[in-house]
Amino acid sequence: MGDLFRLSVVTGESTVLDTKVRSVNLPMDFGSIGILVNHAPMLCAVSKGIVRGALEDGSVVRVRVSEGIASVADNELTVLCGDAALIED
Amino acid sequence: MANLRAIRTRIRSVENTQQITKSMKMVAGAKLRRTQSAFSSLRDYAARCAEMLGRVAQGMPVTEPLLLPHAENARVCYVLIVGNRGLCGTYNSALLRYLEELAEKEEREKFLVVCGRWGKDMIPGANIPIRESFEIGDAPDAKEAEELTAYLRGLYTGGEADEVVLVYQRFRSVLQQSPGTQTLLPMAVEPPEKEAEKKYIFEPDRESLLRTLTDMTLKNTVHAALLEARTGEHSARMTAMTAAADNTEELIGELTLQLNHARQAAITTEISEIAGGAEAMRKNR
Repeated sequence: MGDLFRLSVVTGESTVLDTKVRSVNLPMDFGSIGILVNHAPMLCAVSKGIVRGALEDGSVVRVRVSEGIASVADNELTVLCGDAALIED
Repeated sequence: MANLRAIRTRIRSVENTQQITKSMKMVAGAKLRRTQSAFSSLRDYAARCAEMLGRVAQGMPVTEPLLLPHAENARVCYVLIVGNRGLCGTYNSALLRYLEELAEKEEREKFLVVCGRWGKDMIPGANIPIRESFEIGDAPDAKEAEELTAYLRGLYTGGEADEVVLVYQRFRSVLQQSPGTQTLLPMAVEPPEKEAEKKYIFEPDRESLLRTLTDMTLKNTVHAALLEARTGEHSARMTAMTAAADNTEELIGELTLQLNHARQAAITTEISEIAGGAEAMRKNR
């Protein structure tokens, strides 16, 4: 599938998530933003909340994050934050 | 016979020492694994933070107070990260000696912030005034790093220090640590290596991103230094305790040999006494 990109959530202790996704929803101060494949390079401040990533099979992976920074470049989205935890269903 | 008993007691005491050194070695080994894995994951995270900082700061006029050198550079703050206890070879004393040499060459006014419990009475001998002491655990976590960072940043922004330098044992390998320094403040920004001309969108704005990233990078640097120092401490202790355990092994061998000699000598004496006695009785008959 050509329309996937890489999402990773990294904290000082571990890499919480590293997977291929279709789209991502990032929590920000003014609301949340959606990111799709081939997004322009961007650096943004992530606020405390939940990062949602839509996987290839349609399921959604959710990660609770503290404040941090996200960078998008070359179809790679990296979220760096102090604290993060995968939410299990 | 007193000699035999003395040797046995000696062996028993050496065996006890051996047990202690072996368990200390095991404890140090377990702590070493923990700090080492924490250190390596933090290093990855810190590298990414620093890279992003480089991207944001690139081509921007420096306004962030943590990045700006002070106009007057008259006071330097050494942050000495020592171990929490001894029994780790020359780990602590070599670091202290290094600091003394460093301070001797330094002409600016200087003071010390000590992290770690070791050397409450050794460090004042270095004749550098101690401003503050921090207790740092055996596996430093983000919270401890944050407290220390906040204090050091206060020193710099409050104008009490014009340069903050971390002094600690750099971790080369489990067998080798060497004392070194790292300038914490003012912070240096590494320019990004590649994709220099890529145009980034900054959300919400460049200044606030820069502030967040300098904060993160500063904290990471302190945390990484604490972890590196502790990793070195645990490996130094492990090495020292391995050597001590090996020595006790050798000592026990030597003592056992002595014991056997003494025992044989005692038996020989006893036999010759009996034989001599029997001979004397036969002659008397």
